[in-house]
Amino acid sequence: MNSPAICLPTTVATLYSDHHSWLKGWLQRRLGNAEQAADLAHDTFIRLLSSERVPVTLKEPRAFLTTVAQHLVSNHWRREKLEKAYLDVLAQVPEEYAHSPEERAILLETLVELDRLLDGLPAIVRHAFLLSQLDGRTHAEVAAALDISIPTVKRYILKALQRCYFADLSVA
Amino acid sequence: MSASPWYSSTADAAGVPPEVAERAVQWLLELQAPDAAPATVAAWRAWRAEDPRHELAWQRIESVNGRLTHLADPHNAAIARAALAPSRSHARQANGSASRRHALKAVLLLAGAGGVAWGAREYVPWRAWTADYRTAVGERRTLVLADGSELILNTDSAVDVRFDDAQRLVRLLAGEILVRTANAWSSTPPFVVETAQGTALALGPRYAVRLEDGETDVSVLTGAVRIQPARSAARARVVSAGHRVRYSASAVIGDVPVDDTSVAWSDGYIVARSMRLADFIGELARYSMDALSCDPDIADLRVSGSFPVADIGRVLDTLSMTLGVRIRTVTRFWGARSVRLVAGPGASGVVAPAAASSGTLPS
Repeated sequence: MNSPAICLPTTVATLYSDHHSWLKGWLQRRLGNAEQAADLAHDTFIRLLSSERVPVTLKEPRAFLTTVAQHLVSNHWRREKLEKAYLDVLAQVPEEYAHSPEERAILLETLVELDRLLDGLPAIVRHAFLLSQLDGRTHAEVAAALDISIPTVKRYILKALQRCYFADLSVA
Repeated sequence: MSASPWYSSTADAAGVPPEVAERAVQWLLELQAPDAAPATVAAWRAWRAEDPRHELAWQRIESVNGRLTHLADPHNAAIARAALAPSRSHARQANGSASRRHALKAVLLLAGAGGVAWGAREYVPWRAWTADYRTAVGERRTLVLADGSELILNTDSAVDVRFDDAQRLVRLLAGEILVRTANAWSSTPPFVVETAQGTALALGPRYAVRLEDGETDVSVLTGAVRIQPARSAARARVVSAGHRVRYSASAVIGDVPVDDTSVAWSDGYIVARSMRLADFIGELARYSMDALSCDPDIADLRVSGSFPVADIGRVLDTLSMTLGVRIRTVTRFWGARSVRLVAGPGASGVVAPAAASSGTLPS
């Protein structure tokens, strides 16, 4: 089923000149915000420049671009959501525990990454993990809270830890 | 799932076989257990040494933990927990905002309790790398640190643990600790116990550090320790096994022989070898909620034996019987009790109490 069309070698430069405006429009429809769309379109190309993921020949350059951009969009949304949750919490924390802007940025960065790494895990696995690792609850307490057995709690925590420490190994 | 910026310092751990990575994470969980046995720690060390890929996997874990240190702060951990709770994957399952409220309650509770509620927890995995620990009067507690080193906190003691790339720092804030450092790898940062008076750097695996009357007291049990008074760089001194020194911020003073009996507390005993009664009572008082004292006219009686600190009433009874002294207990109206030993009808010499025979000395 090969297409007879001849595919010219693709470079980031040609992608940029041919599709940058289109990508910006695509992003703006998703995000509803021109400025964010421009930023993410920019980030998409930066990412392509810094990676070696551009196939030499591209039959569907726009599909390829949107795949990369979609990833950035979901990161963006995740980040925004977390930031909102984070600020909500901070708003209710007593003054004396307020963070400096630097501390906020660092903590938020950590949260975004943690959230990203845990993404895709079943809710209960994630829940078990957070109860254990962030709340400091014992396995027995987590088991009681989630109504599952202690061995299951351990299995869940191991699964999530595996994600955090070795996500690049894609262990099941 | 793509790589994480957290992995930047151990990027090549990507070559670690999946089963090794799984084992590494299992070790992490096993070491987090509050009752992790010394045998577990030893087995984990052996595993690390067994294969360079094991060590590589472990380094990945440590480097990620390095990125998580701000979660070590209990407030941050609670805030993180609250922010992460209502995520997308959660929204469906339960009520996101209810779960956030719950987590928030923890933050507020914490604010009220001044962190005490967290300090009481043994099981504080991610925070544990930099958490603060304390013991109550009469309590004793063993901690296994991130690198496998072991700290035993004696009664009424407090430490901060700060591990980073440059050093493994334990700050002794009060009381006394017994340190058993993990195998010193050439790549492992130095292990240091810091007090207001200066630092005690481990050159060997086992030593005890105690804070008393504005001075620091170090007993070197194996290897050696380098003492560095805080305000006098030139006065640094290497103390070898079998010696006990005291130091102030400006100088190292005193040097007496020492052996394992001085840390018998780590097994729950005070071992006395013809110790003055007044000194013995002073030592015993560290483990007691009651104020303990003795009359000056019996202060020089001698005490020998090993005494269980968990049962102070029994120790006092033993003293009373064998030394022929009397116990006078006064209870104040606000509830505080004070116990004073006074001369009895027939005060005698050296006590070798029954407790001595049942006491086990540390190896």
